[in-house]
Amino acid sequence: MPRWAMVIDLDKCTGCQACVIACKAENNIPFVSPEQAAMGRTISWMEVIPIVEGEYPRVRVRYIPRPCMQCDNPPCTKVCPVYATFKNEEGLVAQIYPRCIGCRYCTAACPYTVKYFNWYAPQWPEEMRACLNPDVSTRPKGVVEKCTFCHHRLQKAKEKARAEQRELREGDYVPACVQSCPAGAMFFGDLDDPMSTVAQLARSARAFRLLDDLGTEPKVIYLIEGEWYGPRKRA
Amino acid sequence: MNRILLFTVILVLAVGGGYLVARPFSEVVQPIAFNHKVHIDNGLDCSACHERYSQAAVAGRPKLTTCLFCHETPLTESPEEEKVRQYAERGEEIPWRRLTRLPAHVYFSHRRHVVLGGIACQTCHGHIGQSTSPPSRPEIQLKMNDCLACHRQHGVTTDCNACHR
Amino acid sequence: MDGTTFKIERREFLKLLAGATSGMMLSGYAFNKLTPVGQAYTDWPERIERWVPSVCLQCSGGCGLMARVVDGNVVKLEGNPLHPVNRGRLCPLGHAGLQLVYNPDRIKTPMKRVGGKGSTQWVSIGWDEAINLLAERLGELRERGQPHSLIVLDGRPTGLMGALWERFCQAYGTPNHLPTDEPDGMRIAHRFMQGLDQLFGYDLENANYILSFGCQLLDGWRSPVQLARTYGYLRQERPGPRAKLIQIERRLSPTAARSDEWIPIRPGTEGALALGIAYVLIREELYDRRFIEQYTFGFDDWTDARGQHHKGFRRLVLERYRPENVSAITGVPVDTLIRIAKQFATTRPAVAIGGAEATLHSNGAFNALAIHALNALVGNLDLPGGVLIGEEIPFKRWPPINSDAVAREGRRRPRLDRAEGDAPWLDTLPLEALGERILNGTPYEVQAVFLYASNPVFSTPTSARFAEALERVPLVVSFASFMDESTAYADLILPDHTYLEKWQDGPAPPLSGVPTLGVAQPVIEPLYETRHTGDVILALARRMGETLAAAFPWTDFKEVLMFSVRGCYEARYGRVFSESFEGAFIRQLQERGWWIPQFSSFEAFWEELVKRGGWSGLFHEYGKWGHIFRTPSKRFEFYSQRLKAELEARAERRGQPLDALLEELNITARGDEVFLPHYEPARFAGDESQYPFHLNPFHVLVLNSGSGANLPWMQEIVGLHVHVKWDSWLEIHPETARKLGIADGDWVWVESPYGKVRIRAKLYPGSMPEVVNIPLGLGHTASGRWASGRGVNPYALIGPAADRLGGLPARYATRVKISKA
Repeated sequence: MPRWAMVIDLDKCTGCQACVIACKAENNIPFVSPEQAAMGRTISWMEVIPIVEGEYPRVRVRYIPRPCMQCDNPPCTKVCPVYATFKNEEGLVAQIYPRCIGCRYCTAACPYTVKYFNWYAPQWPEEMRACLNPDVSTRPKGVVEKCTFCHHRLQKAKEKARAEQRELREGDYVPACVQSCPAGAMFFGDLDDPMSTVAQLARSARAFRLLDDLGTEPKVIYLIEGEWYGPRKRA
Repeated sequence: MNRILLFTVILVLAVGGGYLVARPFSEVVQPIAFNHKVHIDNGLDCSACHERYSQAAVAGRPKLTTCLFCHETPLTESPEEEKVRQYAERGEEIPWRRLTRLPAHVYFSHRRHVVLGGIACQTCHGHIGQSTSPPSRPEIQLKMNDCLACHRQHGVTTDCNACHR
Repeated sequence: MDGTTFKIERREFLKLLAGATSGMMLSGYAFNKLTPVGQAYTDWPERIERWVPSVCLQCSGGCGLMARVVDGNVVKLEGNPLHPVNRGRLCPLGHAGLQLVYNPDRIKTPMKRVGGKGSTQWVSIGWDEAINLLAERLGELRERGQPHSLIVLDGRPTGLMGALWERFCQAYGTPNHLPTDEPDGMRIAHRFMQGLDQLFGYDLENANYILSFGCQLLDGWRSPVQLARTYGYLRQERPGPRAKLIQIERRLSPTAARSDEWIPIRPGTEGALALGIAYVLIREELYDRRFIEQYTFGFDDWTDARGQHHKGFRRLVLERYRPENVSAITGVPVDTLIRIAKQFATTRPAVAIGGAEATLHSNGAFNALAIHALNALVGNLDLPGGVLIGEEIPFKRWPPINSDAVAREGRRRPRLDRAEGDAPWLDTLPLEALGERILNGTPYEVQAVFLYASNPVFSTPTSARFAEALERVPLVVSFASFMDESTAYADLILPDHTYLEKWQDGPAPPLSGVPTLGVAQPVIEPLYETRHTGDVILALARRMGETLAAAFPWTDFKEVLMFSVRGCYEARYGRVFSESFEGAFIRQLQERGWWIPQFSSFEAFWEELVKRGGWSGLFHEYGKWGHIFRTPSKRFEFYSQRLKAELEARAERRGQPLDALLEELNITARGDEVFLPHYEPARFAGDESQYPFHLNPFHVLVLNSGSGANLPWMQEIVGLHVHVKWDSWLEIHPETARKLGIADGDWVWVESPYGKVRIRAKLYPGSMPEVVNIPLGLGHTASGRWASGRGVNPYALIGPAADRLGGLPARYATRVKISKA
């Protein structure tokens, strides 16, 4: 059974946010009104977190693209009263909308703040409904949603591989953000396959995981040169 | 007295409203009284009309051109058959109605089940092939439990992610 | 019924409700049948899926697309993996193309203004009527002998559409096919130092040291995805020591933030810094002596044919640009300057790039000369890791035009944006000056304006004047897809298809030196009654008499495209996009001079071209020394003889001494210095005592200078590092803000000599203490529901200043003051 993981090379990231929009387009993520956005209700499964450090003129900005960490030991699933969010056999933390009762316990439990609540039924102008991705449902009001590692792509990739009577190969299944990254800073694959790119990169001396000391065992691995100090307070 | 009155009012509203909201399968009326059996008996396979079941998620419904392949000139004296050519004359597709429907949050692939899984069409669609007139509702109404039972029986995944999108 | 008898407590009501509900359930009414059903009986999507290659034409980056089309709708855009520009990747704007094509604010039919000038009422008309109407009006102009009074404002003058407009203007009889895209100041340096009127590329992938003078490498410059790809490659993929990127800029932009070193610099002094670096290179003899001797002119002092002695670049620099002087001008510490200079000289190949930040100043042309001089000092021209002088796409030449007498007469009139006559400018006038000319009716009255991919009322300083100008013109025709600020003044709107609905060439901008052509094809059927502007031009020409019709022997734009790309088929080099392995082999063969035809016929070539998305020249031939110096000396000219000749000729035509002309051009230097790279003090609108801050209107990748503002996804990610969505912001240094009593998020007034805007302040340590930054592209008053009325347009603060030598708009030459609102 593969264990799907993502590697993000922060040394290559330019902070362009292509991953953010690739994700929104792939997963039918609605936009909210400016007023709602001001209340912090923008939904962004993949979000680039900027960290501005230091004082003029020695200022630097780091960009941290943050999808769902797909933790091996996820805090969110433990608090779900209805088994709407759980970790599946392949290590993906699923979010099943029809089961979700909108209690938002998982939203509070997630230390990476990857879970988003639908305060309203998503709204698109009629014209824009035409470009929704048919592989992904649109969420109703009152459920929590989050990054799925584009698992619908996995279902299709598996089916395709089976139809061609072969095993799933590296590169068959890649989430939209990884596919689009202009700087080539994102990688995806099976962490349990020692020969896979992600497994090799995960062994790099540059590798670290966000908030590792919480014991969440995230499957998103970051690479950076030098030591990672963690987000500091903005100057 | 008032309580009984109010109770009655609420009951009526709830049942009536519930009926309106949850009215399960209103009658499906097809534009042409299609006879599946005749077609099957004449040696046609499901894929003759539902062309893409073996290649894609959606099996598809026949395009008018598919019908005209045989029915360009009358084969019978059926007025229903004549309707096909009437649609052709008007340059319209036949507005077939969908009988079996999927909830919007479910992903289902025909190729995956029929070709890769070797499930017969009848498992889910019943004896539609033997029907002589279009049924107004599906013979088998599948629930998620039916899916799960079959998945368990065949030892395939019951991961929610596999079907819920 | 009174209140006492019908009184039910909440608790009791709930009990009743529960009872009623259970009653309903007990009634057996099918809760188990309550299946949520997604689609209606009639909604029966077939999910027939296609992937169609095309080109993203939102910016001029030229990225190849693969569009996922399901049941006739585009549902996702991905990069084309075969396209050498973006290799399967895409920027945020590229992905948001869906929101452009399916935008509810698109103009859906041709429209005609009703109620005359000034009214904002339009009525839908048919295409035949629209084109007839236009043909009639243009015909009248020709009959009156005034074809020159038509001006075409073209925001995308490169490629075949630009060529088609030019041809139309030629056949019709107007000299006024006027580009409105943002000028690149480095072109001036290429022209005066190398005699080439083209933009150069930069071989960044092979460079070891990139010295960027305000070039927004990662913020939308030329081809964003290609640049990001190069950045990632330089950072972690390329073997060997890591390349260094030094960003000299007045703001910590994303590019500066991702560079190895950010060097803040006083606005407009970039040229001085380049000369300070040149000083160190010359003084320490770190320059490329062989290159200087063999391929340059005017480095050392020289004597001309008349025996007159001239100053060389070396002496000028050594006399004038000692690091301490330069440091005083630029604010860059002496030790930083010397360190950067030494690194630049010793970390070869090193390349210097100038961006808009350095060249869109009153002294922009000279800044460009100074920056480009550095590339000559390290001899890095047309070499791996250096400046690349690329080839054009080998389009097949169109047949010559036999224009009639009216057209020939019209073409003889001066171009409206040329500096002949009154203005001292050497080159074209900036757009805002064009608006003034239209208003003043000089040198002649403008009778008709075409707006193609151009929105001057939004994107020019003193835009109210441009709007007045458009109101004054009897016929304004817009080809826009959205009701933008300029289209609001149109008498006739002939909406173009969006890029996913049409055939188009998508040439890659000059960067790798390799000519690369993407082919955009219709991915979906047009959603509305829009029409390809190319087709409109052809239809118009057909209705305007035989000579015009004869100039356009094509039925539609697709034919124009097919005709032109035949040149690539016949070029005997290059290849239709291919997998990298296969491509590498063919490339090796071609580099050794082999040519193996890939296709037996043009039809086969075309089919494959469309299937794979384009054609590429495959490799760049370095070191074409015979071709890259088209100067009088046939060398790289530090001392520009062309500049000298042009200035002297201009002075003579105007009957004035050269010094008087220089005075008018705001050039302070005199004598030989004028024709050498030197520092001219930048001029700023607004007195420093009254307006203490420099205004820096900066580009944001996702806004694409304004067209991204009506894409809600872009509004959601616009101000990443300051946490702003759906709005503009003013970046201000925290210490400066503290002195002014401004806290993060406060409303402030920003006032320049030209205008005043109210905006939210964000404290940003990446701002220089004396510079405030406002993003460009927001503050629309039209252009759609999400764009309109959000944020401020910094153009409201900018004056019509310009570099008078090169005609570059001095966008960064305004001072402002800040007060709490």
